[in-house]
Amino acid sequence: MLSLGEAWKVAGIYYRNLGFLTYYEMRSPGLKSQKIEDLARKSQHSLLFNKIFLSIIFFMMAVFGALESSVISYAAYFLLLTFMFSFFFLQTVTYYFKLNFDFLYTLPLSKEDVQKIMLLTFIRIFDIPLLVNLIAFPVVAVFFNPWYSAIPAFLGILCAESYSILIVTYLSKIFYTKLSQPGGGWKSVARIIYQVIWGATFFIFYASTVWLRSFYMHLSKFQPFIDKYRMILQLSFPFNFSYLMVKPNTICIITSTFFIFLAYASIRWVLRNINRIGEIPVMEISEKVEIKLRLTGPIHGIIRKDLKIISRNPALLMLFFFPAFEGILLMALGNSSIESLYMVFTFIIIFLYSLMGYEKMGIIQTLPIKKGTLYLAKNIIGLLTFCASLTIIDIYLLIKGLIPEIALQIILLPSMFATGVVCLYLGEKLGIKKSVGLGTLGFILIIALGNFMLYLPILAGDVLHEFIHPYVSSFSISLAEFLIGVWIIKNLK
Amino acid sequence: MLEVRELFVKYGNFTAVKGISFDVEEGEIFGLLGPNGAGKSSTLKSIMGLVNFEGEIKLLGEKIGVEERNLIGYVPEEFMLIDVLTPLEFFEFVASLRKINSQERLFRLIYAFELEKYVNKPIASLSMGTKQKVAIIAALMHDPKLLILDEPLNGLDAKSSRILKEMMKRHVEKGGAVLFSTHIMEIAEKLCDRIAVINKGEIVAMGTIEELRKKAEVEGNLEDIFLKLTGEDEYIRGVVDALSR
Repeated sequence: MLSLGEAWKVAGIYYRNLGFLTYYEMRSPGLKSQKIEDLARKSQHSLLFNKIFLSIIFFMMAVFGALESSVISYAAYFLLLTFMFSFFFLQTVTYYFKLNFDFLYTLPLSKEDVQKIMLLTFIRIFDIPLLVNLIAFPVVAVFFNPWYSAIPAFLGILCAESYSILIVTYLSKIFYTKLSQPGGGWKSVARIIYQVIWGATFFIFYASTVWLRSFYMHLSKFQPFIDKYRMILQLSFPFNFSYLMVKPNTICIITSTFFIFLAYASIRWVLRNINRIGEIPVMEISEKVEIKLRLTGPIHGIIRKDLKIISRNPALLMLFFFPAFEGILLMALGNSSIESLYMVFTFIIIFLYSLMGYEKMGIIQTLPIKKGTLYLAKNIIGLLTFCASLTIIDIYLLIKGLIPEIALQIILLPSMFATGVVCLYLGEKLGIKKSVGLGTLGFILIIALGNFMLYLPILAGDVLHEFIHPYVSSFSISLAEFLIGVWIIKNLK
Repeated sequence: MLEVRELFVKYGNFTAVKGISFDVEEGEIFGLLGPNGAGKSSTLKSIMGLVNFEGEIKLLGEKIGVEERNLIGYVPEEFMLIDVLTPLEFFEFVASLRKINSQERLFRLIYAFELEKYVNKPIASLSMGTKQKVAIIAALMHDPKLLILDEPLNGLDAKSSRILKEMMKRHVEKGGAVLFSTHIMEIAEKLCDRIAVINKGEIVAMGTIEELRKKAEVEGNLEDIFLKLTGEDEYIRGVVDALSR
């Protein structure tokens, strides 16, 4: 029988593998082996950094919640914790369900040992934030409440964490067993919805760091609601625990006991499913298959292939939606639509590099396809992303009662296309072959140049507005850039 | 059909291929035979332009560019498939880039390799042998003039293995050429018209089995010839003696 310490050590190896899988999928499929070595090292740092970052956010949430020291602020903390915990770990847990522990069965280990390792690997995903929450919130809470409030605080956290682990495990299991399989119809829709949630993780955290304080400050507005429905709220999670912390009563003690039992049942369900990991992938093989092929031209073929990959790869789909999310977030923070546009563009370039990353060392290198055709296909997808992002941003502006600058956006489309081509071309020339080359000087230069190219039509409109209508001058420059893009594509072999 | 001259492949300070030269003629199966790490795959990868190299490689007298790639069918040693796609989606993608209009040959290949049951499953979920079939079909679908096969029989079942070997023979009978690498002597002995024995990045001998036999001054099978030519026969005897003690 493996001791807990030994099992924890082995689980650490599987956890490192899990971290690598998540990191690799996100950033650089198709890298050469030397680069993969670097990536493996970076993935370990990234895992630790993410957990510490998350723990700091949770700690801030606990402090802000305690500062407000009200039923609503504690309930908000428990709720935020449940959802943020679920969202943040959704990516890693999804990959956890792809892990293969079969090798362990070939070693002199019992089934219980293997299950212990599987469970500890799972726990390692959450360990630091899980502990930080359990300790920090009760400790902070007793500064503003009677000492015994630490008990409901602790139990409330325990329930919140159990429910979030249940949610994240259920969603990941569904994704792995049902959604990640190819197929159209409802599967495609469900897959995209799931992946949008999956991808929204980053933004939720990004937004939370910016809005956390003001979020807590605005909670007092809901006080009349809390007073009016006190009785009902005492029956429900997480308000029962909040009341127990502030004004303990019998009803809350009873309902809290029920929710503690529910948390216990949740964890039992999670444990059962973790133990079944090895049993999940059963492939159904049908005897009669109707084979239908849809043969198209090269550009169409590349675009179709890329869209399929994007829809089945959560990391890429996240990057696909990233520009739109980022645009909205920036505008919500008070930036202008033009400033948001540049950020959208930056993320589109990162997305394009990621798509190109999939081609490195892939079959496309052996196929009769010119680089120009490949760039064209990738940039059409980039342009689609750009248009989709602009549409989402415009809808947001209209809802806010602002008029979107649609004419200017249309004028910039040819420029966006050309900029995409130039950035890919220069990226290749400067040797930026991995998907997200952030941090490298070359990548920063490319983004700067790309932003300048995209800004040039607007600049021309401003400078020449006394002589010619700004739209005419802007469009002329945009068109000229487009022709440069076309020229590059035509001449690339 | 294929000319390789003074080929060097370097990975940093390590030289994997050290100035090898050979030709593959129309109507012949040419085998690259060597142990693991001998430089076989690097040689084939440089023909496909997958690694940087020094030297000259020509197909039908031309440097291998985009258009020439349509004359080649390549099965790599490491799968170059797209795991999230199904085999059918993968074939559609490859066919669109090769500008194939007819589905007939592709259907025949799918049925010949008994892949029809798996065409709608994600490639990631397929067994190694089935993945190899996908790679082989993708390489054969456009009926190329030159087949470059890197350890093509890895993971294939007996039936598919036989089909592929027969297809290689028919291919050269029709005037095509096959360049393939293997470390399995029996396969090389049965299939190849000519063989280049490659060791530590260099060709140590090249010719028909008879020519190799003469050079090695050995009367045995290809395995004996190979071990003699690579100088590993004495080393093996020593290892086996040590292990038997």
